[in-house]
Amino acid sequence: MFPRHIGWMIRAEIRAVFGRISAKVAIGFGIMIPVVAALALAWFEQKTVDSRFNGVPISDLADLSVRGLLGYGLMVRNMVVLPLLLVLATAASVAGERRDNTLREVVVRPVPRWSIVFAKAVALLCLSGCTLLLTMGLSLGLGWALFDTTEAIDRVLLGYLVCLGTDLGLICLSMLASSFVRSVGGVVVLIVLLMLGDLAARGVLTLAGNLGAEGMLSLIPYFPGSALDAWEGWKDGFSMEQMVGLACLVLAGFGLTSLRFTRMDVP
Amino acid sequence: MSEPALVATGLTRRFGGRVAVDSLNIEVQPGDTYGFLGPNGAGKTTAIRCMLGLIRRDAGEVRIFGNAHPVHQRRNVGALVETPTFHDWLSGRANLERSVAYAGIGDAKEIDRALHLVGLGERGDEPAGTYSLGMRQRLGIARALVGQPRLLILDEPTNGLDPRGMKEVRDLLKGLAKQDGLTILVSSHLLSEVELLCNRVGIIEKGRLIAEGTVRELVAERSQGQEVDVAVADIAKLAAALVGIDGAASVGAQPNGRTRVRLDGIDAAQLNRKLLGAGVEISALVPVTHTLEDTFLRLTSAEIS
Repeated sequence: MFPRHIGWMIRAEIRAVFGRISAKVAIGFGIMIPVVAALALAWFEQKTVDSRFNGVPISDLADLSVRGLLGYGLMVRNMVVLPLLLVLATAASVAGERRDNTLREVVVRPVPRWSIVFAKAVALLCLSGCTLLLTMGLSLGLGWALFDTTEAIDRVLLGYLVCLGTDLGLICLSMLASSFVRSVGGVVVLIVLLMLGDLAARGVLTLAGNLGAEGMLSLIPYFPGSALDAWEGWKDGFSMEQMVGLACLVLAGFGLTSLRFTRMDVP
Repeated sequence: MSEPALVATGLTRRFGGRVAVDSLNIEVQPGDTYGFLGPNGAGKTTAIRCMLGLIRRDAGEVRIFGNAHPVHQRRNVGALVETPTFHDWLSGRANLERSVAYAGIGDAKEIDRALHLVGLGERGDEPAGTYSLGMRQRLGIARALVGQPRLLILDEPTNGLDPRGMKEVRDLLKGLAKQDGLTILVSSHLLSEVELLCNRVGIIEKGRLIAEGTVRELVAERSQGQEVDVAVADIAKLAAALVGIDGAASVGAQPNGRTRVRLDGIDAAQLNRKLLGAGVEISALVPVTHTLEDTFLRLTSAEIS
C-alpha cells in the first residue's frame, strides 16, 4: 500500500511547506491571535467594571476566563485569515508545484501519485496543527496568568481538536481545487466560488424547509460549508451530521484529488 | 544476454489530432550511452516523458530492466527533464534530500558525492534560488544521480552550460558510464556532443524513429561510399573528365567552389591519377569526412521533404 519510505516523504513535504511564506505568516498569526485576544480581553475587563449595556454589566457579555480566551482565539483564527492562509499554503504546495514543475521531480520517483497527495496533506495538516497548538498553548498560558480559571475548558479543547479536522477538510478541498487549476490565486477564487455556491445551496434548502419541506433542513449540516464549521460545536454541542459531512468531505477531497493526480499529465 | 535497460515498444502519444510520438520503438542495452536526436518538435521530450510516466501514453509499453510496472520500474531511474526546477528557498543539498526522500534510497554521503561530481560541493548549502542557470543544470544532474539509479534519462543535460561546463558534464557522463556502469539515454540538439559521448544513436522525426545504430554505422550507412572535394580551375573540364571515369560521379558543387565527387570502386589516389591523365589541373583533392551532423541533416531534411 504505502511506500516504505512514506515517513521520509512526509518529512520532505513538511520541510517544503514550512519553508514557504504562507506557512510563516500562518504561524505568525497563530502566535499573534491569542496575544491580541488576551490583551483585548484584559483591556475590556479593566474598562468595563461599572459599564452596562441594556442594563446588563458589560463584563457579563464577554467571557473573561481561560475558556473565553481559548474560545475567542479559536473564533478569530477561523474567521478568515487562517483558513485563507491554509488554502494558500495548500495551493502553493499543489497548484504552485504544478505550475513551477517542481511536482515533476517527485512524480518521476518510484512512488504512487496518491502517496504524494497523502504526504502533502499530512504536511499541511502539521502546519494546521502547529498553528492550533500555538494558539491553544498561548491562550492557556495567558489565560491562566490573567483571567478566571474556574470555567471548564474541556469542550473548547475538543473544539480545537475538531478544528484540526475541519482544517483537514479545507486542505482536501483546496487540494482538489489545486488539481484543476495551476495558479495559487485561481485556487483561492475557486474555493471562494465553491463556498458561495455552498452558501447559496444551503440558503435554498433553508428556504424550502421554511416553506414546508422540512426534510430539506436535515440535509444542511452535511454540506461542506456546514461541515467546515463543525468546530463551533464547542459552544452548543457537536453535531454528528456535521462530523459525517466533514468525514465525507475529507474522503471525497482526498480520493478525487488522488484520482486526478493519478490521471493527470505532469509535463 | 542481460535484460535491456530500456525497451519502449509502440510508444504513442497524441495531443488532440496531432501525433507527437508515433509507435516509437527503442531499445537501450545496459552500459549503452544512447543519444536521442531529433529536430525541435520531433517528439523527443514527449517520448521521454512517456517513458518516465510523467504523461499518459495512448499506446505502447515501457520496460525498464525488464520491469513493466508503472511505478516500480522507476526505482532504477534517475532523470533530468528539460530545465530542472527546484524549491528555490531550500538549499541545493536540501533539494537533493527531498529527492532522496522520494526515491526512498540514498543518504547524506550519496548527496555529497553527487554534489562533488557536478562541482557543487562548495555551494551545496546555498539556496537553490541563488544558483546560475548552469549551476541549476548541474544540480539537476546531481538530482538525477541520487537514489542509486542504473539508468539515467537526461533531456538536454548541457542546456545553459558554457563550453567548459559542457565538457565537464560530458566527461562526468562518460565516467559514470565507464566506471559506474550506468546506462545513459541522453537527448540533445548538440550533435557534436552526442557524437563525442554516445555509442548508440536514435534519430526521431515527427515522433517516429527514422534511424538507429552506432554513430559509425549511421555515418557510414548514410555517406554511401567515399566522397572527395576536388578544387580545379576549369570546372567544365572536370565534369567532362568525370563522365569518362568509371566509379566516379559528381555529386554537385560545394559552397566553397569545389566539386564533390562520389567514389565507388576507386580511391582518391586513383581518381587523382585519372584526372591528371585527362588533363585536369587539380589544386586540391580533399577526402570528405562525414559527421553525425551530416547524417542527421540528410535524414531529417529527407523526412521533411
